[in-house]
Amino acid sequence: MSNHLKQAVREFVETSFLFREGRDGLGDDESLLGAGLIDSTGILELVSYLESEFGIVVNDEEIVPENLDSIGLITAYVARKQSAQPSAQVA
Amino acid sequence: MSEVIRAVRRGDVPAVTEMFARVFMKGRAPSKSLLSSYFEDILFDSARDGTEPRSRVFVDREGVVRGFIGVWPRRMLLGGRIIEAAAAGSMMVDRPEDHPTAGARLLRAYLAGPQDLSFSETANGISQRMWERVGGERIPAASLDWLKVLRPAGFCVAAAGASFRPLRALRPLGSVIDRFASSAGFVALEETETRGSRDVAATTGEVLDAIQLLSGSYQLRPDWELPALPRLLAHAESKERYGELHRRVVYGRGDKPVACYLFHARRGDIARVLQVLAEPNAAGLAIDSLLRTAADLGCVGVRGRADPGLFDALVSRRCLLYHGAATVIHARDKSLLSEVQGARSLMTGLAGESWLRLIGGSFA
Repeated sequence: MSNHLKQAVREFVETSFLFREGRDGLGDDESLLGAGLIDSTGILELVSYLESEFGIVVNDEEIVPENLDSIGLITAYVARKQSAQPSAQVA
Repeated sequence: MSEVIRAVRRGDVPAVTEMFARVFMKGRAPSKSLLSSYFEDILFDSARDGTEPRSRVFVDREGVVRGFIGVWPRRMLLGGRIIEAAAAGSMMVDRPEDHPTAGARLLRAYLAGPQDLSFSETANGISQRMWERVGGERIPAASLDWLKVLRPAGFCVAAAGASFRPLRALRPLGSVIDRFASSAGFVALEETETRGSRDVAATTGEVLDAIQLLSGSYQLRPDWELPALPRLLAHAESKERYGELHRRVVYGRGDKPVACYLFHARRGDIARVLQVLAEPNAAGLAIDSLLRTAADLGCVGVRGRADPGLFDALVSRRCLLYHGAATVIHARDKSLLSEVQGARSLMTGLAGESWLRLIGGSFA
């Protein structure tokens, strides 16, 4: 799994959601939903970012905590989508 | 079984009814059977012509309906060409902490529908942000409400009573204070210039004709056929919590309507305007007539949705303008989005979702 990909996801999550909570850091496996860092609005923001930044199409049934609930899960999900879409560009 | 978003089915109605009563009718006790019947009517009306209902539900892993978004398709005209639109409202998720992605999925499912233009006139702060995250836009000029206080003491009692019902017992006191203030000349509607116009209570047929005529000046407007205007008006007639629906048409010097308006009113309460349509030079006549009629009916104030065509008339009559629920739009075709932003649009009231009895109906 690309460290570059994980770093990009981390930067987005920390920039977009973490500063609102006044927190400094976030573990790879820490639950974003459980910690209240992301709500429905945040989910849409995250999905929009993943689609535009990584050239993937996030299907409705894929918008589930199993794919989006932590930096680690998001990174793994994007990597899976990209490998299924060989033409997709990695940011 | 995985979580799914799908079209609403008749078997979902009891769950949708329960959820709506819990989320949107807190503190009231609607008849579940009446509310269920109403949902049956509005959700499956389109099934009469063989098309699938457009409203969507979110179903959890156990197969239980936990979320809903109401989608109301309507055909509109933009500069004379047909636009298929769909208004949305009543979005709700039961136990959102257990289903944190449900709201996002419901909104995306609705926006992915076959319509050219998606819109809502009742977006709260959270909904507005969700729309904006998926490329939607707020229409600032269609997101303002207006308010005119007619009887200050009665208005305070009505406003307080809306939050805490026992305070309504103070109505007689408010009425006495307002009568005293009025006789002392402290509170009175300004004298208005009628310019030879006359305003009359209209029959359903007359107001339907006036709405069709006067909405012609809007660049974006409903075609009033799909759904049919008489049907929308029939729904709007029964908003028991808001009072009786009053329909009036304002005529100029001739027999041609220059304005019409519809509002719900009850003596001692704040009247709620459903629609004001006026020719550009008749907005003042319409607002004057509306305020006068509401005052004659014993209303303590009037509130409604502002329209850019009414701004000057409202401000000059010292009405308070404030940000209400947002009107938001979304289109996959971005040029359509900018076209709608720039157009004089009629997409609230009977043209939006406010005709629904879900807003203002008691179901008791």
